[in-house]
Amino acid sequence: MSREEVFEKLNEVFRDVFDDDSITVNDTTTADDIEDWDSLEHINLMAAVESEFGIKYSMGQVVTMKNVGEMADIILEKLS
Amino acid sequence: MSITSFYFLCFFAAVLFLYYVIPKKAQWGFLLFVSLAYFMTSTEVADSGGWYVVFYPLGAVAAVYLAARLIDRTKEQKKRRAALICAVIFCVGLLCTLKFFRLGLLAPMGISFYTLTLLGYLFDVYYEIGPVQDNYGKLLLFGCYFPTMISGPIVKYQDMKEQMYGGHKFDYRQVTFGMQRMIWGFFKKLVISERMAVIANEIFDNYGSYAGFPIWIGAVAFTFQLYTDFAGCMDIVLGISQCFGIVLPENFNAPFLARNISEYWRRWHITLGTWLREYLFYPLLRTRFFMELPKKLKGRVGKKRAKQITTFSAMFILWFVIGYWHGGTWNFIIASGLLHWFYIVSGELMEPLFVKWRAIFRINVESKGFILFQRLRTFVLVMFGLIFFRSATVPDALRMIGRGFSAFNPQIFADGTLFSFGLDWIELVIALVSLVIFGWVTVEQQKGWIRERLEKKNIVFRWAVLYALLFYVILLGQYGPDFSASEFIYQNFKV
Amino acid sequence: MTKKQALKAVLFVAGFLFILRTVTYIVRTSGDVKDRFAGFYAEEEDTIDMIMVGSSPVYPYYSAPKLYGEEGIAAYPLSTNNQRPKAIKYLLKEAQKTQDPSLFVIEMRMFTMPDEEWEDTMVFTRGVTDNMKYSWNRIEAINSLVGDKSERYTYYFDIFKYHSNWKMLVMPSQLACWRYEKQSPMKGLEIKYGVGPAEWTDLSAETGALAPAEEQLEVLSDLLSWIGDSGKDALFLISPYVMSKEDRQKFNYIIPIIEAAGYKVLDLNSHVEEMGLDFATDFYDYGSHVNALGEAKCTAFLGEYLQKYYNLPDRRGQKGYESWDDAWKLYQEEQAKAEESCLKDIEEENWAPEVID
Repeated sequence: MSREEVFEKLNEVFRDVFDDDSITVNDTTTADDIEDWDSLEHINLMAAVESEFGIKYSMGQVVTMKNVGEMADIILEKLS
Repeated sequence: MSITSFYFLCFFAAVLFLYYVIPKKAQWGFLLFVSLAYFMTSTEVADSGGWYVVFYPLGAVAAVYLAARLIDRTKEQKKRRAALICAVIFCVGLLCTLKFFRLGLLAPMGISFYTLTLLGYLFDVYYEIGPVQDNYGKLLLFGCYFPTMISGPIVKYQDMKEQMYGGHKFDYRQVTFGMQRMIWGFFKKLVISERMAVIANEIFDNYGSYAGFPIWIGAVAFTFQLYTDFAGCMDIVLGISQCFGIVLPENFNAPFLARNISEYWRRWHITLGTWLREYLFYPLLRTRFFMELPKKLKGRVGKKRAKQITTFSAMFILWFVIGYWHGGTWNFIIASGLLHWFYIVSGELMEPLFVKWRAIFRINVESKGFILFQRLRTFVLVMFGLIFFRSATVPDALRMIGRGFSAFNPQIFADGTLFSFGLDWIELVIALVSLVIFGWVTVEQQKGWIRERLEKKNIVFRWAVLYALLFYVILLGQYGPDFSASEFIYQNFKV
Repeated sequence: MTKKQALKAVLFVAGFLFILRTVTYIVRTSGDVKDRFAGFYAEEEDTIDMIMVGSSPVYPYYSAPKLYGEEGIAAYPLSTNNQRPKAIKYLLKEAQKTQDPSLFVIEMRMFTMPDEEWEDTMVFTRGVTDNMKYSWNRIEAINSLVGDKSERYTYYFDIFKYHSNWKMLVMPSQLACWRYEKQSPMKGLEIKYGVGPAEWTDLSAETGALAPAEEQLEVLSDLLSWIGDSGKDALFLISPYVMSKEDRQKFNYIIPIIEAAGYKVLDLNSHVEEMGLDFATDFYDYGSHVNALGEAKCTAFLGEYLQKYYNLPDRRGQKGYESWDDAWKLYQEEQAKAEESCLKDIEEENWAPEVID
């Protein structure tokens, strides 16, 4: 999977989790950029991403992830 | 030794002086020695003769130390888990046995706090997001650092590592800032909290004789008492630590500016919230049970509801634990736990209804009036919870609330009843004026630390402000042979 | 830390301590004791020839203005309620910092009572320590008077006790005490109104002796040797009052000790008839302390005695004693009023309220 494809899928996941079709994410998107992305939703988001890509984050990664770019990096790493 | 006592100040002055006189390499060892010495002066040891109590933190640190080393050195997941579970059971077991099971045993100072701090370190090692500390003494300092032994904050090892073990050169600015912060803490504690306590004690201890507004006044007084007591303690403790060049995390951020209960818990006892979220809530949600739950429920109640029920169930466990941690009895479980779970859940469930109402009444969510309404609402909700916190038992709290609603008597504000709670009108005025000063400063600090703004002013103005604050506390603080000392409430409840 | 920072820190702390001391002086509880002591410190240096110490049988009994006006003697009372004898030495030392008296007059009533009773009641100790200016002598007094070391800091820094008197900061009469110096218009005298009649029992026949409390004998011995070292003369006084037999015996025990050390003891109880003291009219509290009527007689007698046996200079008309002339004038006015009131009370049988100890 290419990085662009990953981001396409991530967009879908985000739109689904936050119930907002206008969301588009990129490398620098953080929780500050999306209104409902609080600590509660963070877990749901992680679970949805894991489910969509068939991967599992470690607890450490869940907690320390800083932006969507990092999220994508880990996805690509795990898929390869 | 009470942190607001004369002898503690002498102790602190001596320690501070020595700290900057000894070689930098020796500073962390010196702090460790001082921390253990301070521990030995705590009421459990000094007044109750329970010197053996010092072995509890020593043991907890040892357990965590050994488990962390093992976890770090081995790749076998089974062994790692086993070590983690053993250490957790040991530490949590100690905590529950000594504190929550009400067996009348002497518990060491700060056990509720250092247990979490140490377990946080262990979890970080387990999840491979934090480094290991191979030196038992250094880990011991991390766990028993005396400013945090009274009422926290709960600290993260990564944030403390460099600061605690690296040497510190004397920094005039940091030391003076630290001392200024301490004075501010004394202001909150001795001037405001002690006065609020007079009213709160009178009404809570005699709620049977009151009805209507006085009940609510008592509840409001206690809310302010607890807040200024705890936040004041934090100011003193963070100020002390700043004098040593060690920055501790904030535990408060103007909690009553919160617009809803969720935000409140991001502003009140911040380090506890962070800890529980990272080490309890997230792991809980990532267990198989909670990951599977939404899928199982999706068919029956729809996706959105399924997610909600899952979250709310996990939150129920979380809030139960929070409440229990505060004191192990039902009034705490409710006051600082399940009641807030209820608030958050109802808030979530009623959100669509709120949206409708706001549309009907054309309320602008960003208008000053609405924000004020939200903040008052937060205050009232929290205040209700604190009635349970302060009451002796749950039935007492319920009866007291009942009495609060049993009469409508606004006349008490005008007929002098206000002066019958233990503070005459001058004392009440002092309390209110001090609250106003406190409120103003707290709000102003949202724009930036007042200390930094103060340092930019000329020396005459600065010293005038500092002397004024110092003597405001010295003259109006409630301390000395004519007042009875009262320890920090939070410390008593959850030491 | 740079030199500039160190200097700032030192100045800040110095400023703080100065303000603290000033504020403490102002908010110390006001009353006759504070006025008396602040009045003492306000006196010009080396103008006082006689210092009187002791407890409550001093300031209502002996009028310094009267001693000055009639005999020219410049005396000042440094007495406080239930003044523990242990404190006397320190007060005399304190007095000598600004004055050069030739005679110490020591009232003895407190020697008959054990010291330990008073140590627990901080108010009597504080009557002395919290009316002294900050000094090394004061610290020594505190160390001697306060056995519980952990409590001493509230004495060293008496702001701990008095800070709730902050309202005094707006009272001009207290602001005037910022250096703990404020002229006392009648040189520390407190004229007592009221009549509480008592019956005098002549115990002069009682010659038995009873030893007072051990610690008081130690204090007495220490005091006598200190006075000896100071080279000053001392007169020990027993003011007239309704004495119990035990008290009489205790005094009988102490008097020879003092006389052996070379100091006179004036027991006014054996001169009651000579003084014309009438227990039925001259006491305000039924036999413990005299009122204005009694005070005139006691002071007159003391004055004559001092003239006869001591060589105190006559300060009337001297430069620097103008305030004493004023005190004498004021005293005469106030005393006349008080005596009139007492006589009226006697006529109307309007007795003073009982004083409950």
